Amino acid sequence: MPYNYGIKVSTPANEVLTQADKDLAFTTKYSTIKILKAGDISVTTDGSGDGINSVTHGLSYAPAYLAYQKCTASWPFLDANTHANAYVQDPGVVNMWGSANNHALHVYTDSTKIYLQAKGATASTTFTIHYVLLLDLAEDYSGASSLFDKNIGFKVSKPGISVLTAKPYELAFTSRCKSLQYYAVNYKTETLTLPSMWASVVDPTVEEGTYVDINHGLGYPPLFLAFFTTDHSPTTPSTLLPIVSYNSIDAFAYMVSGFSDATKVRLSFYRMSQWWLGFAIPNYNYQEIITLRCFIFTEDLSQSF
Amino acid sequence: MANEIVYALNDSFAQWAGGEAEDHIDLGSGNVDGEYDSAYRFANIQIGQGATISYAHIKVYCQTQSGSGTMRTKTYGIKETNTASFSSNPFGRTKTTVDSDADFGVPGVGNYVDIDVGQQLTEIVGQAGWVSGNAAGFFSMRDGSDANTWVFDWISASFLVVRVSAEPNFNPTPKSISAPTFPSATSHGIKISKSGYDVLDSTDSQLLFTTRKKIVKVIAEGETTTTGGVEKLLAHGLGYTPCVLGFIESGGYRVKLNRDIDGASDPIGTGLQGYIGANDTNISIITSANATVYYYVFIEEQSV
Repeated sequence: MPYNYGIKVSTPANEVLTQADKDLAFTTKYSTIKILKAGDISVTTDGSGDGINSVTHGLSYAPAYLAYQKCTASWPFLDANTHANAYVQDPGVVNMWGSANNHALHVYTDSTKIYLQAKGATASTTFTIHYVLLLDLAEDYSGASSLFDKNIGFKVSKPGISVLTAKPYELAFTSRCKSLQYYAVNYKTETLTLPSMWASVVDPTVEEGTYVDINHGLGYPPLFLAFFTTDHSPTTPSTLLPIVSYNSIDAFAYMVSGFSDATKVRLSFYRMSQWWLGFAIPNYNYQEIITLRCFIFTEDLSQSF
Repeated sequence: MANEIVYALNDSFAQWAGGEAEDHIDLGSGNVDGEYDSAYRFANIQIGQGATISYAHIKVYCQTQSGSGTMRTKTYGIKETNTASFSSNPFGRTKTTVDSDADFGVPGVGNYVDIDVGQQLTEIVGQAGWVSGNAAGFFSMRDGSDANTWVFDWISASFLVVRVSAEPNFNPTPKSISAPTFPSATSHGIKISKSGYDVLDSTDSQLLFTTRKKIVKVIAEGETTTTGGVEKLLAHGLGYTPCVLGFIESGGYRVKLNRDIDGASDPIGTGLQGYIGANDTNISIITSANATVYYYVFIEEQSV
């Protein structure tokens, strides 16, 4: 039988004693995601399109993070318009909304810094990413961390750990960090359908794509996470975006990706079939429906913290 | 989505100096025969009168072949509105104004020689008497092939591929979801503002925490190892599909999943890739090589 101890806050008009944990606005029963800092990192590439820059975090362990390329989003194949002040998710993965350069920008952390590294990007160009650095771990770690060595504010430690001596990564909640919180509507679902396609000797490259704009009404570009499933492989898990797959000639053939700006989160679905050595590769001769699930958070990607 | 139509060879005829044969396609130059001319007939062509052909190619099947030189042909259409079968030598029939040159090497047996006849077919179907469903014919005439270099199709495996209009790429009308109506701001519950912001006036993005919004709650986290190419499943016990997040170790650094480095230079490792997802039972992690992944499972549900 569950016991009602700690702090629980239900969502409006719901009984706090009976509301399911997953629906509660807040509970000290579970750890939260804690934003240590957020900001921009820029790098200007050399003549080879390479460059690196970093920000020190002071945590003594590699922390978790989220990152978005800050740019004008554009993909003429799907949309003749450009989208200024956009945030394209996950630099380092092909995401055509961020041009081919999104693929050439790599973000990673270690025990001292968060890095932005350009490798083979457009030469002599400045690229900027917005990072959201978390207090939470990206690696198994049990060592010391001198950050937050004063007992101030409001904090909740994880079970079995003294709140007075808890290391930063042992905290379930702390008012010294910004909480990652869902917006009022915490997700949207939508489906996108592409009809069957099959490249041939006549049409050696056939492309399909479409997108959905989830208008959020926030007036700023929000942090978002999205997942997708496909009816073509019903056993496939609901996979985090962005995802991209390649064919044998190393041209991307399948991509589900997106970006956010001040009015919307755009999620797109693209695929391509190519005629190669007498075969359609991949031979997308089936209609495909993907289901997208989008989480929008209160975090403003245009603001530093 | 390709909308081309393939027409099987209906009739053929070949001639050379001192000889001819029905049901032959002979291209190039034979050891004894010298250079060849060939005629093709395709029946029941489903193209309306006056159409402009985007693509029409004859694919000549290589049943047998010889030589290593270059074959050279000049191909015409037979300017008739409904070409009759080749019961006798057809090469005296009227040719189209337009022709196309095709120079090609000797293909392997089982492969095809490609001859563009788009303009010729456009001229044929542009004639006043052309009706969809009629037959069209073509001549490939000798044009200086290298000696002892030839391709034969005596089993009528050649065909014509026609596409009237260009195949468009497909972009369905994008969708748009309206913004939700949010509840008005209230000053109850717990709110903690950022330093420098009045907690009573702060917007949601200026707050460190508010009970007005649902907070992300972590029900499980930890590190796991994966085997390259093998899906790692970790039971979460929720009975629904949760939101997940993961970080992969590469070159001593941690990188957020998904990571797909293919086609780019990996500055910190050897191109390690990985994906994370979930279903009602498990979280799923798959990596391109053996790897270490730190994962988070949020209690919040993905589906409605």
